[in-house]
Amino acid sequence: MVDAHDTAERWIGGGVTAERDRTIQVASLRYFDAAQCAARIASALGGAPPAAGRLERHGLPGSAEPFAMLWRSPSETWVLAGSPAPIDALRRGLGTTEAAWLVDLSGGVLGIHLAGTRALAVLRRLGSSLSIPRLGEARTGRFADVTVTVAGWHADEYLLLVERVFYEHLVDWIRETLADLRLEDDR
Amino acid sequence: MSGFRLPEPHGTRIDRTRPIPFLFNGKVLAGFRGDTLASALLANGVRLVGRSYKLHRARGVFGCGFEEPNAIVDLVDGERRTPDVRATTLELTEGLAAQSVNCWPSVGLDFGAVLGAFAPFLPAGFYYKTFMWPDWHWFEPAIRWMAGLGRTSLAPDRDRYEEICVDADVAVVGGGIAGLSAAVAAAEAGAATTLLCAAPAAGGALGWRGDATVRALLAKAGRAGVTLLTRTVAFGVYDHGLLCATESLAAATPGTHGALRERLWKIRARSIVSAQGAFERPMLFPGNDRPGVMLAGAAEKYAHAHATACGRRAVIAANADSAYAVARSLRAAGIEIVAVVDRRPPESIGAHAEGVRCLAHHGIRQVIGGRGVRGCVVVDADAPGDRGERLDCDLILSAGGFAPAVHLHSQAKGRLRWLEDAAMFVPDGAAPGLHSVGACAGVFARSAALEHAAEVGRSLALGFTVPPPPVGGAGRSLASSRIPGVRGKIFLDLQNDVTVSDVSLAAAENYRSVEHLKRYTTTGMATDQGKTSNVNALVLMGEATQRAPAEVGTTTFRPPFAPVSFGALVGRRVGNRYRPLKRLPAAGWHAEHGALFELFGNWSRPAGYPRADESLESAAQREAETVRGAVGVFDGSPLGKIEIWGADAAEFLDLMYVGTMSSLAPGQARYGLLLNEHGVIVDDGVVARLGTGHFWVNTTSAGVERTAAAFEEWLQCEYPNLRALVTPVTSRWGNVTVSGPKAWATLATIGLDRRFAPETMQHMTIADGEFDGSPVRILRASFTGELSYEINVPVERTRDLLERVWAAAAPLGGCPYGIEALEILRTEKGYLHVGVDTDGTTLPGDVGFARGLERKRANFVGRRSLLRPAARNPGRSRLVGLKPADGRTRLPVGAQIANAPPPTATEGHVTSSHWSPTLRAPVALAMLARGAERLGETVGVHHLGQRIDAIVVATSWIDPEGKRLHG
Amino acid sequence: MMKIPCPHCGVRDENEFQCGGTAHLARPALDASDREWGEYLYFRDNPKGSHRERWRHAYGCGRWFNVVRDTLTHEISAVYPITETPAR
Repeated sequence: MVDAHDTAERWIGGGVTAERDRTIQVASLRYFDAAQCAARIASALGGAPPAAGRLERHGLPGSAEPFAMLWRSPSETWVLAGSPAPIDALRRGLGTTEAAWLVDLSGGVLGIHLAGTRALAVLRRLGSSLSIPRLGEARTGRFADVTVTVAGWHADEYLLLVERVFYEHLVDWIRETLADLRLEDDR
Repeated sequence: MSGFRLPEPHGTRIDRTRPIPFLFNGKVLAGFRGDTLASALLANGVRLVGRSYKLHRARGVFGCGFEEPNAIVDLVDGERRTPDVRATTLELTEGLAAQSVNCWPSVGLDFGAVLGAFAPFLPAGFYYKTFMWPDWHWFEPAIRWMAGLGRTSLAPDRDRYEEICVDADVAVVGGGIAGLSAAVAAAEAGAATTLLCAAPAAGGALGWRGDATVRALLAKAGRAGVTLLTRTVAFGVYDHGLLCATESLAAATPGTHGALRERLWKIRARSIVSAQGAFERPMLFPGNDRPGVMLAGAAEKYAHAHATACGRRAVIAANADSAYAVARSLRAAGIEIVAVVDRRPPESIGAHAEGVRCLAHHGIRQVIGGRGVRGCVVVDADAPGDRGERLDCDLILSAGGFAPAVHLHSQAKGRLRWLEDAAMFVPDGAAPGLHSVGACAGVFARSAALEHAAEVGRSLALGFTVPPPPVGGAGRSLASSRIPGVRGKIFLDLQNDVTVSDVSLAAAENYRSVEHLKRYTTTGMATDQGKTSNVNALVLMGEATQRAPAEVGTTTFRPPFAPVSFGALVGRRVGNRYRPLKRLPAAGWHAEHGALFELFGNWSRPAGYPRADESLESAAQREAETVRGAVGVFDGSPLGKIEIWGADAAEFLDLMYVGTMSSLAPGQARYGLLLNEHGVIVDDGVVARLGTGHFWVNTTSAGVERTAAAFEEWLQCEYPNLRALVTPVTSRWGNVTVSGPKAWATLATIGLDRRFAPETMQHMTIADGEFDGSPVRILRASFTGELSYEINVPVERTRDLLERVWAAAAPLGGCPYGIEALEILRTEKGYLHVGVDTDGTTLPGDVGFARGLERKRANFVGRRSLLRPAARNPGRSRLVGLKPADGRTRLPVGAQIANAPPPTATEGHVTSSHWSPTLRAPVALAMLARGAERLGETVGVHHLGQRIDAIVVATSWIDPEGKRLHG
Repeated sequence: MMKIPCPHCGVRDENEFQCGGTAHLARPALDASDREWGEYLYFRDNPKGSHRERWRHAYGCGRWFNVVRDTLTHEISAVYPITETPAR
């Protein structure tokens, strides 16, 4: 079985744009206790692990080295950045502490931005409404039958983070959904 | 041919300016926009629409909605076929083509109808009684051919389906006046309210009657922000307020293939309101299944909503006051009402119709006309044997009272009670999370329903106590809708051809439980789920066993309320989305190099790289031979990769694996078997120590999620005090494996440091390095038996590394190799493939990993189970090698090992088998009882009646000392 | 499909969870008798009504936790940490 590989990186339908985030770097920050290592992380990066279910964005978009931290579980925060620099800075800052462990997942986790007034309508066709975050939240849940971490990135914009092996599967599902939204609008 | 169109102003739901041609059984007919297929067929004078399931009796349209048992058709549109569609709920669309079901060669001339002559021999339970001798299988093909309803298409479904999940404070099911009233009140009180309406437009029965209140409510619903979903059928209430419904989009896009056809709604509702109305209960009399006998309310709806008269002269068989309202209404529409034949005594009748003859305490003894009603004979209820009076008519309407649609209430685990006066089951209090309003709550008075529904909607929105329904308004009905003593075939369940005498028979044979009655007679088990037959069946069962209907009880109502297409349930999960496929990071490189992709677990990966003239099998032979002779390049990216970190990581891994990992020095790696608590092997892999408190674990490709989940479960639930963290990193790293005697010769030229040379980097060690500016993590481990390097590289560099390795390997005579070649190579070495050579009973000792276990300190997962008597039984199976005695016959995988031909006790089975290109002979692995003691023994391998002699040998054929591993 | 309150992520649909069966099973030591070990592996109560069981938010935070669920009505009356053993 040879798969048709979709080399496109942008899909539009029903007023919603889905676009691969080409530059996103993702690192997993693991710890036994967030409070224990919060100070160290804060001094290394300038931001502390967010509270459960939250997304914290630091630095203005377009500024030197913006980055975001999102809560994944009681022992994991993901650090997102547009370049390797913030992740490298964090690694240096953490040094050899036994309180926290940084695992670079860049390339292993891919990002898709879903934007438009009906972006929410698309997410509702991928997974349960209970798993869809509000602005400033991050929820990990089941979308298109795989685990996806969704962040409420801007008003009417979500960032979807998915394990690389399932990226094409998720894109396929989104592409079909957008196509049907568009057809519905044509009617 | 007796139906016809009525003049305006009849036809509130049709648009006479929009005629629509359609095909029925190959004949071109015409209807109007707003017609259902049923109303259009009736208006065209079509009476015979199908044949019944068992007896192939002629049948016509009986109802006007979900209760329809007869008018079931197949829709045919090119290669698309939609079987078993109710004509009564199907909107007429341009080019619609419908066919009758269950008849051959045609509905008029039906071969199976001869069965009618055998009807006396086909009573309830006839399958169990009749076709047992000599063997059911003699009869099965013919019965299966004649039974059943529509035919499905064998072509793939090109339509699309989707699923959507939403929330609602209040979800109201039913767009009639009660549902509208509840929805408007809830929304006006601030609740996020969704109203689901099965019809193309909300309004219900009062809507098509042109009621002004309905119009006002519809306008209010719009203003209050009610989300109105039309053409949407709520089919099930599930746990914790989940309401599921299907929205049909087909009517909006007729003739379009590949468009979105249905949408599955999953609505999480804080409160659900059921306003599904009531079904009419039919009268029971001989011949009550003939075309021309139908529900009274249906005829009324056809007249007013669709301007369709179902006949010219009607007799109404009654057990309810509603008969008189229908009589007045149809008479006003110009249809002659010959008489209302009321089964009740005069004192129970609470209505009358001006100018209509009423025969109180009478019933129908006989219907005249086989394929269409021409008249009937009525008798006094106390004298069923009398000659009676013949009434000429072309339509007999059944007004037996009402059965509230308690389906959703019952699905939500609500209880029912029997109303003696009105002879109906109504909700006994609310169900958890669901309240009923209107007719489905037993509220039949219009103003009471309106007020109560509004109060329910408002209370749910504001969190107030919900008022109980003001049950009543339906008048009086008798429980029994037949007059006793009449003779003839009286149909109870029209779709499954269950008769009144079938129920008596079941009772006589002591099937007293209603659940047994249902299954023995099959009443209520057809696609209509007994919407017109269940209550009558319970009443009859009660009569036959001297019990009241309340004592008989009802069967369990389960979803779906109406049939749901598989497409809607499957949604987007078709083709490659059937299950999430995992793709290789450098899939494109493999495709360019001739890879044949197949599914292994959920991975789409190269099985081999067959050249133009090669089969996959011969490609695998060539690839395996190349690895042994020169070098092969393999994409090992799917290999499971998990990092474990923390002060207690070593102690934790000792608890997880059979092998001891704490004694590894940093940079060393060890093979490990993972067991479950039953001691059964569930995965294997290589554990490497990166630092004191940091490990790299390779699992099998298919086992990584399972293994990571097992690690987490043990860590979180059993060893929460251990300081260890588990992070799966499979997707982060690509893996290019280079294997063969020229493996290092290949890698030496791509810029890897000389310290990775086999002289300085030993087998089963791990080291970090650099490739072209990127970090690489190199593991010396081998699944081929040859010198091997597993090079892990940041995933986005996988293709770069593959290209560089390939550029170096190709001039040395190398090739890429796929899974099939790998299977040959590892079988030649006797290496275990978990899940292929092992199954759900295989313990470590069965594959030769029992030594030294007693010296291990940790109480690893599954250890105690290895001490059970069964685990220590010397008769257990053992993995062995097998070679055919003749040196050339391949041993089939799965073939049983026994000394006598089957049937006999088996001693084992072949688990892996290949032709070895290196040995030029077959090699096989097998699980064999006491295998370790039987080396050199000849055993019988049995396959499809053939015996192949095979010799038991050690598991490693090639390089048993393992010299080649070290390069 | 039930709604299950994950103690970390909040209420989610059942299809994001994995059920791990009866909670609070004590794993016998290595020197346990065959009978004790067999009961740990194979014997479970099957109550009609309140049942303590453990679940994992498999598609979410990945955490295990304990749930008290009524096996008849599917009502979930309590959720508590995996490390907690409440008094019966």
